[in-house]
Amino acid sequence: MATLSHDMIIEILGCLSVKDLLRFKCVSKLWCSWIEDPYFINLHLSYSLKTNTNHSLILRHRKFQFLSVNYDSPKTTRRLEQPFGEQKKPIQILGSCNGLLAVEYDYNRIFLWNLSTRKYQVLPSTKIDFSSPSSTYSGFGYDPVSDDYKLVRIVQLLGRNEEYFHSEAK
Amino acid sequence: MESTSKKVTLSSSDGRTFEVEEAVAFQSQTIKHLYETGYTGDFIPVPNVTGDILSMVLRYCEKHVDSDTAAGKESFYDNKLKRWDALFVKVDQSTLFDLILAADFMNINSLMDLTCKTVANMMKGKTTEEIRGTFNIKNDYTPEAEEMVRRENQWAFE
Repeated sequence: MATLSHDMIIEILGCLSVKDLLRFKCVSKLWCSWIEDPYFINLHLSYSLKTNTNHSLILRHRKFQFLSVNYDSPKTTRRLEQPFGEQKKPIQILGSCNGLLAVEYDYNRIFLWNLSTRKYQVLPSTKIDFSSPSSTYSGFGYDPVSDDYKLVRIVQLLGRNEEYFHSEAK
Repeated sequence: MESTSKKVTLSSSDGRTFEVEEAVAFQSQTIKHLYETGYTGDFIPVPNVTGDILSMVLRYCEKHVDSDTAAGKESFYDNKLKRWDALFVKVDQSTLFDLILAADFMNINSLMDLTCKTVANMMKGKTTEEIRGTFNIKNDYTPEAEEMVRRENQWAFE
């Protein structure tokens, strides 16, 4: 049987789900290095965006849980296992971008959650303390200039005078 | 349409020749480029592709030339073509791999996409052992190293 080149195999792997890809890291060391290559990861992401594949809908289920509905095959709805176990702590999605979720857990811990690989990364906490009441807003997105994801938090102090606002971004 | 009357002859690796309309052959960017750069030979050699595979590829190109003309953008026609494509790639794995190599050599993007996607669909849900068999890959992990990679993503094996 014909042997396919590296480029052809990369083309084929780009069409697979992340679950299949994670399993195929065990095929050989070479395949593992191809699948972990940032170039391939970007290729897979752009292919998924272009063809509307590997899409999931995230729904809140009761107070502390989330459900993930697979758009490619809606029968595979699953409950998301939270990184910190099934504790009854408030959890809130701050934003999502390219399959990554920015999540706030128990009012103090913010982490980025890759639902496709089920890996997460806790962000360093930067507390903003104010004596007066405040409201916090968050935004999460991709920054093409630094080729990285950014979480922006805006804290708004609620002054006594309703017409006066002071805001600080960190 | 004067372009439809113009014919070119392709010659496969095993010496078989195929006469097709220029528009059909020009679905291959490699052949199109060859002509655009002034090729004037009687035959276009396609040295890496056997006659059996080349005849399949040309059948694909003929179908897709038709769809590129007037009705090509209508969704009814588009769906019909997709069904035709799906039947076209219902072949054994060895033929499918040969089609990928031909699509790559002849530079036919849509055929490359179709065949690669078909192989990917065949791979869905397969075990690592089955994949090694499909692609003729030697496992170069030690049992311990393989177990470590597996444990990192245990859920993907369930």
